[in-house]
Amino acid sequence: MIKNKKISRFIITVMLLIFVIAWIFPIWNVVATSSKTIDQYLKQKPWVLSLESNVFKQFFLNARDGLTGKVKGGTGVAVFPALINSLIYGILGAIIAIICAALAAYSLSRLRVRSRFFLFMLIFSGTIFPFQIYLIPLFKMYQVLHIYDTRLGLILFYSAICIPFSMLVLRNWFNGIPQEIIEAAQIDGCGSMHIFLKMIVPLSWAPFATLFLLQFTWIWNDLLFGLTLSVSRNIRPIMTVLADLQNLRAPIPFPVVMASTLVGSLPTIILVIAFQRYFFKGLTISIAGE
Amino acid sequence: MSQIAQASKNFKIRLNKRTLEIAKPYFFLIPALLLVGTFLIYPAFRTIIISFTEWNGVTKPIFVGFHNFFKLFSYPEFRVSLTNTLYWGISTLTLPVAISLFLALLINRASGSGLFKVLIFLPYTLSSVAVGIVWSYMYKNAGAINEFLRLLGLENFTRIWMQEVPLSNFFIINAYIWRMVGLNLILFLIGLQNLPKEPIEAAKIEGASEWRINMNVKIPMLFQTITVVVVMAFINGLNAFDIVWTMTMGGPYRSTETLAVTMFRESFLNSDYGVGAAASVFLFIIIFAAGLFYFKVLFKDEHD
Repeated sequence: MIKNKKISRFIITVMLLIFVIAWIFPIWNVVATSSKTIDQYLKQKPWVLSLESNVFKQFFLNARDGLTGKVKGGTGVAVFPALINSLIYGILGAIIAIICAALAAYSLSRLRVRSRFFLFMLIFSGTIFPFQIYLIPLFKMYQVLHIYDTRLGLILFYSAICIPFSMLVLRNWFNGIPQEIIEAAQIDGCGSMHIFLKMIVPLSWAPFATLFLLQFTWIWNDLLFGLTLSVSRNIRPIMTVLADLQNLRAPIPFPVVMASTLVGSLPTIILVIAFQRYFFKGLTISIAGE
Repeated sequence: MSQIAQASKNFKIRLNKRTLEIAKPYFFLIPALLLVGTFLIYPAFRTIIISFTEWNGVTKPIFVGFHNFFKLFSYPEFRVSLTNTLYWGISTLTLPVAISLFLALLINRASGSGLFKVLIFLPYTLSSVAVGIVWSYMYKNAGAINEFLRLLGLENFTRIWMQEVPLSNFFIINAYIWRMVGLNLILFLIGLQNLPKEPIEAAKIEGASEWRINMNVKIPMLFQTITVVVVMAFINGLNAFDIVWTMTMGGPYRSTETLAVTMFRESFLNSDYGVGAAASVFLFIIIFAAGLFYFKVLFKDEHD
């Protein structure tokens, strides 16, 4: 019986191993191709990694060409400015969203507010719409307000769209903070802003970090709004540029496209793998809504 | 006289202070309400209004009632889009959940489960755009699938996969599912971990096979997690835009468009804002219905 169990465990493990190798094979293709010269790319099978040449050096060269957009015989698409843009949008958007959401959540959870549930639903309703429903009026509004194709415009929108979910999570977190702590401070005559800054915020770094991770990743990975709200190369976020590399069929060597894709994906891969625990926790909250 | 003035001044200050005290909690809400109201809620309602008009974005919109919705259901190019959206809905409703649940049950019984978990989760750490690029490369003429077929001597089966209409839709869905399975897997593994141990032990003592335990004990107990994951997958699937746009831009000849892509194309490339708005409103109705169901399941315990 026990022997049987060991055998079945072994078989399952081997089956999973084969499955997982097939599963990450598409990623391996990209990694292998990103470290090839054009000649190698044209001659070899996609998954072959040519070990006789220096693959790291070739990857570095391809990545450099992608970042600067300098390509032989034509102008390429520079990825580097887009990386910087997305870094700005991701960091500022997530931080502004978390600050606004924390203030609102604090008010809804701890202060005397009338029609609390209505106000909560009003902010939370930002999560029930499909993204497409915002696009047309946003596009028109941005042109009227002269924030179309500006960094400010993108930061404002990314902040707004990250608020509802952050508010939900933070409200639940604040609800869990013991009332006695706050009452004690109130007796000492502290104002509500003082209590928020000195007592609530220091207790909430864990959800702040989780939310930052989730929202930064979301903003970094967004294509739709970058596409709709911006058009020039020095404003557009990273994903629009990667999609262009794929779709415009610009005269860019394919290994350079692959290297650019990897470089553009690395920040979120590293963030997610490094902070796995927080990330998974955030995901369970986002699904179970607790 | 001056005493009265002093008193009334004091009263005013106190009154102001009190109003301020009452108003203060609302100040905390202003930044969030302002941003959400301006950039999310106002546009959403504005789109609903636009969906009842014919509008090219330049001249004045003309009220046309439900005409845009009729167009959406009768014009052939939109019919294709609706059919594709249906493919997406059905596929994302079933496949990601079935695959990841199966994997979760297997991984729980294998050695080195941590490694498997991370490797299967890896595609989810890529953006939809990156996943689109990864799979476009697979499907290319000189891509891995064709090269593999050539290696096996199956030259006749090689295709330019993204031009095989209507199968190309499912090739895109395949890429999408590849990304999402990792997420669902994590959620199921967490769900399995949190299951009460006693019923499973009891079934084991009674000599039930692993298969029976999975089907009759574990899966029923996971019901809530499963429903939530299914509905989320369905909503996200209908919303999918990035990956379609990256892989085909809805082409060739609008054959891989879904409603989310049709909305974008009609609005921003064809300047038919009325139809674009109608497509997004129709999406909203489906998603809202799914969302209601989701909340019903989620808060079931609280009602009982």
